[in-house]
Amino acid sequence: MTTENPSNTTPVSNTVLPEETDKGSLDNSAESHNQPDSTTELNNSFVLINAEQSATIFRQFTLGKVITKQVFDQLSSEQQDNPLFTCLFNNESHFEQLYQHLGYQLCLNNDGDFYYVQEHREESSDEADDNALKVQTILLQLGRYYSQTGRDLTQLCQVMFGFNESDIISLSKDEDSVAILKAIKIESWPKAIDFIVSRNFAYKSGNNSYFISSAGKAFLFNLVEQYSQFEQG
Amino acid sequence: MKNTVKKFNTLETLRILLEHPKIMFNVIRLMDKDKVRYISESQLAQEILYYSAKLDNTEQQRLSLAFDTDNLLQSHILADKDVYQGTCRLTFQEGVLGLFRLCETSLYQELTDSKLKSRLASLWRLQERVNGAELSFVDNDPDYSEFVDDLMQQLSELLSVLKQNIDRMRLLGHDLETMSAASLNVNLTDGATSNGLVFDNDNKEQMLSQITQLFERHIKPTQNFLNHTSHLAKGSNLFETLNSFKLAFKGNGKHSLSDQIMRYSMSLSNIFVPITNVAHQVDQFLRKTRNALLQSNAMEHFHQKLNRAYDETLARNLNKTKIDNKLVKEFSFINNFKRVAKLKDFRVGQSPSYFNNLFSELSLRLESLSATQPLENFNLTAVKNDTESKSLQRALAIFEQINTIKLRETDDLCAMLHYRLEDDFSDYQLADLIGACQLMHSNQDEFALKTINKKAYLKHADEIYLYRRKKVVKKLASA
Repeated sequence: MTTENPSNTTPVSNTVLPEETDKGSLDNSAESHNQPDSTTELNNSFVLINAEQSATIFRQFTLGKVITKQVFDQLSSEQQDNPLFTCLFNNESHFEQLYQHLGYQLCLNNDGDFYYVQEHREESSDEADDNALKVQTILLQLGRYYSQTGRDLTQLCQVMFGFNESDIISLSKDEDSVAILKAIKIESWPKAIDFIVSRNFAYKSGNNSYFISSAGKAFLFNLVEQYSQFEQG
Repeated sequence: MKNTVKKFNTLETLRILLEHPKIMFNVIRLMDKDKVRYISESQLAQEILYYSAKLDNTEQQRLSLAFDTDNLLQSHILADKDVYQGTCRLTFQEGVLGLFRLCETSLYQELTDSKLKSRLASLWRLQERVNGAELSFVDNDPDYSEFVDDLMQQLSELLSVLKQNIDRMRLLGHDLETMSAASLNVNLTDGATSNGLVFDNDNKEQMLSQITQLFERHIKPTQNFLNHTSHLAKGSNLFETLNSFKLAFKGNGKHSLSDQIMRYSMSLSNIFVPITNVAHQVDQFLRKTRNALLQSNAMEHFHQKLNRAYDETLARNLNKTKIDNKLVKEFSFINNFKRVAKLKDFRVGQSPSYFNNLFSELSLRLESLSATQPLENFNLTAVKNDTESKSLQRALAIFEQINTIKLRETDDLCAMLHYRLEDDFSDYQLADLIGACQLMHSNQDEFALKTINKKAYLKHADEIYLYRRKKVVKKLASA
């Protein structure tokens, strides 16, 4: 019994009886809360944040994902608030600092309600990269196909409409679109869809159905907005 | 001869016309399409011919008798018949046409701005007579009673055309749906080819202009006409005009007439709500369609940029097979989505398999080390200025050594050999490794050597050896 207790709680409680360990550790945590408050503020923000969530966020960024405000929940089949987004949003200055220290810049896209990271180097901040090319080429081709088939782009971004297997099949039959995919080093349409899904620009809503996330929507509607200004101007 | 031909009276002729209404419907459609008020005798005859083809003989006979031009004329169904440039043109009584329009909603004529204005203008003319104190407001005065008749007729006509139009416009929602569905069908059957797109956009534009025309020329004017608060340049609006009549009648003690005018005014203002609904519906539709057009054009616009970037990969430069990622700058969204680099951890495991690997590697190395033991003397042997025989001996030694090396499965044969030879020979050079690798090629029973398309390099002293990696895979037969 006594050997188990220290591993579960803090090492400080080694000599304390099992009944008193809870109380002891509570006192300890209260102290550890108070001390950094009075000395440094930086430690404090780390204490406030769920380390597990922060690690998950980091892992998502290492996979090249963006973190959207809402994610599709397969179980309930509906969009739900993304706890990771909420965590980033509520502690924005903490995470901005954290990623700054890692050499990145944490950015929030307001139109699309999503977070992404960029390398924090002054000369490379607006340098284009292949991931952006891939994501945007795929989304543009998908959006073009969708409006060609007489559908509203808003529907492409809605769970109940979106796109499905038959859309992917007819896209695959379009040789030009496949040739363009190959020129961005993506083999086929199913792979292209996997790519944007893996980056959270689209979500899988069912067996063979998908829809574009708020991040992808922001890209497409940014194009529409640009074009309408171009048309007017 | 003609006198002996059987004729029908007005009622009977009209009854036959109504029994076979499709003929008249088509006639009205033809006239509306050409925007004229007459139909040529031959067109009418053609319609009758098509229609009566499936009827029995007596019925055919009745029809041709009823539609005979002389019969139509004598029964007052035709208002006029004239011959113009060799064609005989028939003009039907407006009343008859109105009757058929009443039976088929789609035949209602849209109210145009000018039609509405002319109706209002004739009301203004009556209003002037009231304002000019020309009227006696005495029941026995024929001038006055004719004025009242005229006014009431105009109002009832106005109410009926407006009501007909409302019914027609209510069907618009359905029309819009069919129109957009039709354009969608065109799309689906056409597939996603670029030709299909051009056609589709044309189609959409055309549909859009039709609806815009309907909205701007018919619905909006009607809505304005029925709006209590609209201001007209030339005179008072409909309700102000009606109000002036109402006050005039009231002031002269004609209370029943004043009530009647008020009821008309109420009925007319009741129409305002449904027409506003229709206007709203059409407006929504137009907005939606305009939006869709905008979206489709925007997608097309940026897709062309993509296409141009793709075309550059088809140019002469053999090395250019990839679209330049500078393209994303044209989309002015986000230029890069870098991954955050993973932190590299130093892999020291604690699992049994980790130790198994470690021990087998150690034992293999020990084994080959003991095999090199007898050669130790070689390095110590002093050979007098005899470099050639020394290098021969050395080559033989390496040959021996390599024959005794036990292989295991590895991704990079060269690296493995390199590290072993480096350990075993103090004067080891990269050239020895090349020889060793070549020997390894032919010499294997248990393992197969596969050259893969991944490159690696080794550095020894000042030299760098760049090579394609060789995999060592266990042969299936021996396993």
